[in-house]
Amino acid sequence: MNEPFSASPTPRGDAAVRRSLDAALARAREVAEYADAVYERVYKSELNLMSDGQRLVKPASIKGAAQVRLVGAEGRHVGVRVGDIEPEQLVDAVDRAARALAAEPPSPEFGLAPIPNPSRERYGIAVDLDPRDADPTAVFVALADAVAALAAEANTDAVTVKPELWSWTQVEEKWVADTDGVFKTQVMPVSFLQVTFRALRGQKQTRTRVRFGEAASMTFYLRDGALTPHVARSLREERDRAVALLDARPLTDDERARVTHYVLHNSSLVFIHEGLGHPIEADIIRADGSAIVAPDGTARVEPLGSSVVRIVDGPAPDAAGNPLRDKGFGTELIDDEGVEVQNTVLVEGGRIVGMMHSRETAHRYGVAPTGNGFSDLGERRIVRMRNTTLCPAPGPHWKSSLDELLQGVELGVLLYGSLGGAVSKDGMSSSTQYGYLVRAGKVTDEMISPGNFTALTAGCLKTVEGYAGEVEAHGVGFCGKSGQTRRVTDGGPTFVRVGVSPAVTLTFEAN
Amino acid sequence: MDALLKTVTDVACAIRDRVLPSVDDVEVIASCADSTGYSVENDQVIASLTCGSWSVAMRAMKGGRVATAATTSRDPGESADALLRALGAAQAQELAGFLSPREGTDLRRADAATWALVDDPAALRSMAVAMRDGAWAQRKGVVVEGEVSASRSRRALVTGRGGPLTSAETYHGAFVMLDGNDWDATSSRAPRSEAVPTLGSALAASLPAREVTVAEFLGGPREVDAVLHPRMLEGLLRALLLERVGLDRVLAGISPAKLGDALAHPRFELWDDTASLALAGHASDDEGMEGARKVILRAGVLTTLLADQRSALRAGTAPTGNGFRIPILAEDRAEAPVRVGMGHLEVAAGDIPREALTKGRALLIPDLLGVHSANKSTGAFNNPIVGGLALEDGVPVARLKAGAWSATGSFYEILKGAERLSRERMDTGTATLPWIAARVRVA
Repeated sequence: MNEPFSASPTPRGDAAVRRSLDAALARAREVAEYADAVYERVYKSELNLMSDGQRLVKPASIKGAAQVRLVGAEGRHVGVRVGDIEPEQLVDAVDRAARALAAEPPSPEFGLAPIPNPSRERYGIAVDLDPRDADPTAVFVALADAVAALAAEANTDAVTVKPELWSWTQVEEKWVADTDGVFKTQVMPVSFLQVTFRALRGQKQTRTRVRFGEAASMTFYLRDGALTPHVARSLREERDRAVALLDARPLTDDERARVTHYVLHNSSLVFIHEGLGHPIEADIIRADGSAIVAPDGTARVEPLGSSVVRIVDGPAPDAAGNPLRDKGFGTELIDDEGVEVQNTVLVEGGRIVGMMHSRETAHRYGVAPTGNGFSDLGERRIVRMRNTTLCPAPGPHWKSSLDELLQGVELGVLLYGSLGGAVSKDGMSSSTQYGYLVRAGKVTDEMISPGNFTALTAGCLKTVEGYAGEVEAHGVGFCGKSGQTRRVTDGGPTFVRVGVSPAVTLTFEAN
Repeated sequence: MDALLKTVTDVACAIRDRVLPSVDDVEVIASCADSTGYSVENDQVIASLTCGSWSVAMRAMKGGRVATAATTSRDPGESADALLRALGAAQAQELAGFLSPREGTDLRRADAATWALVDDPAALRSMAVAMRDGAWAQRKGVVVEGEVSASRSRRALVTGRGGPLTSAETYHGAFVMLDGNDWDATSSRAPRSEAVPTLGSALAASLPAREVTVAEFLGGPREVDAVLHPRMLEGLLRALLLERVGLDRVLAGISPAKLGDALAHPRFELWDDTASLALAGHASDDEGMEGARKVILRAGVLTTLLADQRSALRAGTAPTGNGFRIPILAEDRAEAPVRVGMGHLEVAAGDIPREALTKGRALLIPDLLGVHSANKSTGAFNNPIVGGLALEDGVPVARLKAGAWSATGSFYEILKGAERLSRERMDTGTATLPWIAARVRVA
């Protein structure tokens, strides 16, 4: 793994924040046996190009909040979110939390695993185009102009393409401290770009959406006033597919009955996050909310998947599936409890071998924390995913080309993209943006309209047969859990071949 | 109601006063909220408190261009600096100027008992425990998730032309989910101290012991009569019908709707009430326009397109007070653009008893998984069913097996056929709606 920590930047106003946290923790020592705090501050610059053509540039959104957690006698514990970092406000919040702590019954099983590497203070990635200093307006205007021009290229007498754009760049600063003397900070640049193309022909309307996200500045998307080549290429493809969708069709009943395989492009792997990631979060497991792992940590489904399935959560992977510590939209270097983010193997050889942990669940299961304890700007810290990807071990199941992967597929569907997914205890559902029919091992130009991919957690990985292409954390998203939102990715090799089974279903909306 | 209400107003006015000399007009919405909640994660009940969560949403106009900024700071200087910095990025917008909100205080949506409940963690905790234990008592071994919370917020809206319009609101609510599938909820501005503790037991008691698959109940995938629960109806109205009746969507060419279109069955009457005292009503929308009750569909015919200031100006019509900062995905409310949204929704009751809406084998569908991915242009949905009951002559006989049912249909077609409405209505906290009969395809 590369090591970007050597020049970790220090967050701005570091001394003042430290004084405030010290004041809060000093007060906490008087009312609790242990306390820790996280304060997060985000400086965001943002662009909206809305469907009606309205263009909004917001160069300065500034937000911050703290979470202070008190742990009392016999495992009693309470957390409080504080919107203001001034010492007296923090101390008031600690006092309010102390009153709630008094209402708590004993919770003897509660505890917090130690923070590894407690003496290290600074973490982060250098910010090369800092929105706090450089006015991003010119960059955003150029971006909006470029996307609008790219959409207009596809307009004809019959078809109009309307773009919507949402982009932001932000610097996230984080402080973590506790009553044992731990003090850690992190600075991260993060940027995001989402473009939706709507194609309109008469009353008919279709859309495609593409997203990019990276722990980097806006130079990832735009350089010298022009879209970077990989972004421009992707946008043109999705624009053209929005137009092509005007003539797409769903699978016929006959085709649905005869389909033998789904081949998932890595833009449609959200089911790895929804259906397999969430049920391996240790807080969900502890609360008996997982269909595949029992509260005692033993697998309920053995094996979970075919022998070629290997799922990892942590830093984004490189093309071969090895962790890249400083890349990925879901990437952090420490979590919101001060734990350095680990590369955590969840499924190996089709069997569940690990869980994602916060300090609390790590204590509960007697293991080391994995750096998955996150909060949404001052909310309670819970177990969250980061970059969750299919990272197969090398072998004959990992083909060098799509053609090779499709050998033996008599009738299949190659599926692309998702507009979002949702998870229940037993399964998940995600939309698919479009697909192409595969006949006799070859991809045809028969375009398949948007559908819904449904997977039962306990069975959907059992028919994963192989892969093709490089690993990429392609799916950029915002995961909702317990009312909190977090940036994440999902992904895997470019293509994943899955055999049809009762555990995976593709359906289409009514025509 | 408390000193902080005045502080919030002072902060909003201070920001306005600092920025106004540099611009033609300015609009500031400052708010501050506290809450106390308890999450139920089966055997654990976990406290979650919020103290002084500030939010400041700002816009300024200069030379016909609009600048926007947002902070979570109670420091007026920091917020004013952010807005002044945004002036360099101001974009041309069709907006005549900000409104002139009245000066006054509206406390009608702040319930004193709920206000005090925020400071009573022991009471809220005991409600959460009772909600969970009630479910366990009814169904041994059931996995219970949920939350009980109470919150209070203060808000001040001021522009260069008027205000401050100051208001306070409260919320008390709970939801419970059993085995990750069946769920119920209750919410109100006033305390739900009787409803919350029994929420779990009532839900558990209402569920038949038997569960069925599509094949077991219907013999396989097919079209079937279904009763759409008011919560599902509300979700579809907000996710899909808004895409048709929002004036901004019409102006963008995304919606083909026009006044006079028959969008629903003549028995279907729909109102939008942004002035409601319930949870979806406020002292004003996020542009300072005070709310009103509007007929969206009269006898199924579109009579009002919902509009914010900008879309109304573009269309040459009157705004309807539906301009809200509606966040999507990772946006916070303060940083979200003003979008056309809905207030409290109300659909007229029908004349059919709920249990008589369907005959023979049918389904009750309370929720769909991932309904946000439904097709906003066609109204088509195709999603797994969450919860749900199998009905025989309107009587629940089994639960729908979790993860084993999906429903496909077109909400716009369902509205056109929405003739059979129940005479009972449910208050969801944000809508007052009947159960409706519909045809869906299940698989």
